[in-house]
Amino acid sequence: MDKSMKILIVDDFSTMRRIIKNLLRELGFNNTVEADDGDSALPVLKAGGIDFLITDWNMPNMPGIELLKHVRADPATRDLPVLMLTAEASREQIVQAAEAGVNGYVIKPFTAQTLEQKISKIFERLAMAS
Amino acid sequence: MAVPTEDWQVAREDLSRITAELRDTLATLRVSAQLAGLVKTDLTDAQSQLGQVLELTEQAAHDTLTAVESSLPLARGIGEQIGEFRMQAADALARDERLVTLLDGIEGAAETVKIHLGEVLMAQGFQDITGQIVRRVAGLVEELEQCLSAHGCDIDEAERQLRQEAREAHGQGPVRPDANRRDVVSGQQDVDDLLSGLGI
Repeated sequence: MDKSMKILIVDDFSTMRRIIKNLLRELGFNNTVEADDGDSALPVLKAGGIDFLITDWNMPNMPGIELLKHVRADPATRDLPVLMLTAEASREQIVQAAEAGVNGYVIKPFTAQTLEQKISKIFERLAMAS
Repeated sequence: MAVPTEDWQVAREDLSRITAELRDTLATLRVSAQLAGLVKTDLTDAQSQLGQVLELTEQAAHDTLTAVESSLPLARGIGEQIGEFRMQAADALARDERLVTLLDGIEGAAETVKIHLGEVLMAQGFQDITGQIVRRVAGLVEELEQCLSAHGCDIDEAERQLRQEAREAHGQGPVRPDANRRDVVSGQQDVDDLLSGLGI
């Protein structure tokens, strides 16, 4: 796993973005950018250079599930690994995210260890697949 | 001339019916006046107070995060400096066991502080969860205010359904832990089991 990869953090709560950014820094990932919902994340993704997307679900304007669908529909971002980090806990929604092509799903409140495990797992699986 | 008993009876019944209606009407008027007051001041206040809760908790969480961000590198720095010192002062340390014990103590304390700072960092996630709940309640208060306003509740069932669907498209927000609910997961393990069943 490349620790210098560029990670986009999307969450409408600035405190949560800050927590994720700090956790990633502790894990050795220092290259992060932020957006506060799907609408503001899309131009960042379109500009290119993002290697990993961590997104919330429940956000104003464009929610995370719509963002995920946009990412998978665009040939430029189709293979981008996406981790959903959200308080949405219904089985139906988790299945919906899986069907939309999510690579991992972490439920809030979460632990630093869970985040680390899921990120490792996502990149292990991608390495195995390629 | 004597009034027939039956007529008295009818008149008495009429009077008691009118009295009851008047009493009900007066009670309704009083409730309406109270509701108008509730809409005009209390519900608007409730909305701004919920907004205040959001602002205050967000600011407090940010202040805490600022303190954590400033302290974490210090705690990490202490550990690094101890390591550096061990190399520089290897001779002195070899001569004096007490110095080694002292350094081990400082190093252990710095590590413990780092772990606790990590816990403080994670705990600030409360602002996201409570914030989502507060926003949802603020939305309900807004709807209630509209229903109780001068126009009355003119949202029909179809409109309510549309609003509900629009809200749910953005997510349902945090759920209260309830072991009896089968439609929601109970935690990360449950999510992992569900996803691994789907090949993720």
